[in-house]
Amino acid sequence: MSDDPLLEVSNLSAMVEGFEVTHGIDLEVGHGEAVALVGRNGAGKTSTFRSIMGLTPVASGSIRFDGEELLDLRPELIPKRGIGYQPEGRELFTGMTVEENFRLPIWTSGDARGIEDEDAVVEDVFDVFTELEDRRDAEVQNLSGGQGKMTAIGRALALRPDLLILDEPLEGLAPVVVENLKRYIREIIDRDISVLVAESNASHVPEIVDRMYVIERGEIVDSGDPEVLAEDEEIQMLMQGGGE
Amino acid sequence: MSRFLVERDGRTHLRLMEGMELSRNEALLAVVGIGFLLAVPDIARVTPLSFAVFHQGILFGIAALGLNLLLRHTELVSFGHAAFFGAGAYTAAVLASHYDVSSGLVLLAASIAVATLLALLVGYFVAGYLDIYFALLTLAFNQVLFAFVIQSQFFNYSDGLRVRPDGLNPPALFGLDLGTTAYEIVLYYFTILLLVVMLLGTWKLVNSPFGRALDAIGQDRTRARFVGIPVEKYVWIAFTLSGIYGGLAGGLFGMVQLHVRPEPVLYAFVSGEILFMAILGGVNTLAGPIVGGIVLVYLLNIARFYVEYYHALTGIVLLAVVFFLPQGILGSLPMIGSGLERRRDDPGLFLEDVKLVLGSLRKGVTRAITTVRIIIFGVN
Repeated sequence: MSDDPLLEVSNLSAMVEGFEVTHGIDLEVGHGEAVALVGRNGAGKTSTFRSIMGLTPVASGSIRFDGEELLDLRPELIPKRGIGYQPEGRELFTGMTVEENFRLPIWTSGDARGIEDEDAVVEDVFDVFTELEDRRDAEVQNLSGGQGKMTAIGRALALRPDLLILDEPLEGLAPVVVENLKRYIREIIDRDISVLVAESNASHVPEIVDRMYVIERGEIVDSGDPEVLAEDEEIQMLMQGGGE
Repeated sequence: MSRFLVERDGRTHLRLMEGMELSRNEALLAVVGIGFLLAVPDIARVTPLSFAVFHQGILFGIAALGLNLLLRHTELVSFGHAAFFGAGAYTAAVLASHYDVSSGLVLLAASIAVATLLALLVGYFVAGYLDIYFALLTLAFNQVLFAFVIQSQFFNYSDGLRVRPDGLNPPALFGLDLGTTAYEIVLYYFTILLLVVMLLGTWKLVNSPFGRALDAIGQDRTRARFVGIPVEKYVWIAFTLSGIYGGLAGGLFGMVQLHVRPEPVLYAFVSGEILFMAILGGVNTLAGPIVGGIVLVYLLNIARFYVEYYHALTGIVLLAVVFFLPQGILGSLPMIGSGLERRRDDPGLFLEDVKLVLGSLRKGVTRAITTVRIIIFGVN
């Protein structure tokens, strides 16, 4: 395994509707590492993730994944390189079943990821999300909020990614579902998949990740051990909308 | 259960091929539909039904079936599909009249080839666009082609070209020397055969991974991209495939009509009609566009004998469909069927229907009387 980080974002400034919404973001995710990007709503987490996925224009900077510059790639090539993405909200393909949502990326990009046994990969995903097993033939619009989030993460896992990007996977869920989902995410991390997760609630983070970044008004303002940062009063004030 | 009959949710389904199963009602509808199509030449002999108009309706329906591939799955509205229908028809006409190609199958193969190339070309430019831009671009390509053909001596301007290789006889079909009636009948049954093949092929296509990817693109292009679907490439392929339907239908149309003019096959208004056929028959159904094609072409051809402003009929039918059958003719059948089923189980509902109609009539009459009274006697 190389010592270079798997994902290396340098000096990234993303544009939304002509405005620069992130300013010189630097962040790294190592091989097999779990990292959080923590910030309140509107801080720039989603814009950063969408830039990495090629979905938001970038004014300047660089995004290198496994040594390759992603800014040169069309968005549909990025999952083929090994990044799975669960966007904010569910964004599932309605009218299709849970299983079809898992299979769709494999049908179109499985070859590029060297997937030969489609069924085995799908069963692997159901092995992680055991709760979805008996909902596999349900159309996704009929799922509960938690099941929908699990399906969205499962779909991102279906191409056997090296890095999984999760945008607020715990948002808007009941506490018991949050605990289940944290368990599933830890299981994914245990499978040696790197994870970059966005969270607006810093208290969830220490249980999931090894390292965290704090983002505020489009800039990284702090980074380090999640146990320490989540307890930091200044960070807590920031999360609640105070501080400067 | 046998190889062809399977049990699903407690109901017996007819299995036509792997993954293609029809419920009892769908199977019944398919059998009645195909039986009716096969019987049309005989029915036309003993009733006023126009066989030629019916055949024409099926051909436009095939073009609408192709357009529906885009409309239903990628949610793109094309206002330019007459371009492919016209390209198919004109290819047959040019080869027959300028180059004396007499084989019907060669004419048809060439029609498909030219329409495919044209769809590849147009699709390359429009695949990256959405909504109104896509609609306008397809319309623009259609109009450019129409203007080019109608002003070209090679295509004999607005008079068009005949599809009679020796200037007299129709093209040869399967090496047979056929009289006019036999030619029409053989071509009709050949169309029905191709129609069945195209319906099965379309079903297979839309239920394949490619078809599901088109559905995903139709729902949200960004979402499709981040799961790795090459959106523009897939739309381009779908556009080309949909053009092939038009080319095949147009080639057959030329061979049926034996004369091709620009207005009935290439004009942008025809593109609008092809789009309307899909909506009329039912966008969310497989065979709806065929039903829509037959109904609209039949209405437009027959109405001219009864109504002076028969083109207004298209608008009136469109309004009626939007207000009363938003799912189109075929798409509304399950709703009508379940309504009838409920009334069979509870005949008392018929009484409710009668009350509803009488109530509406009473309201209408009361309103009319009030209006007349106000006109005659004033408000007070």
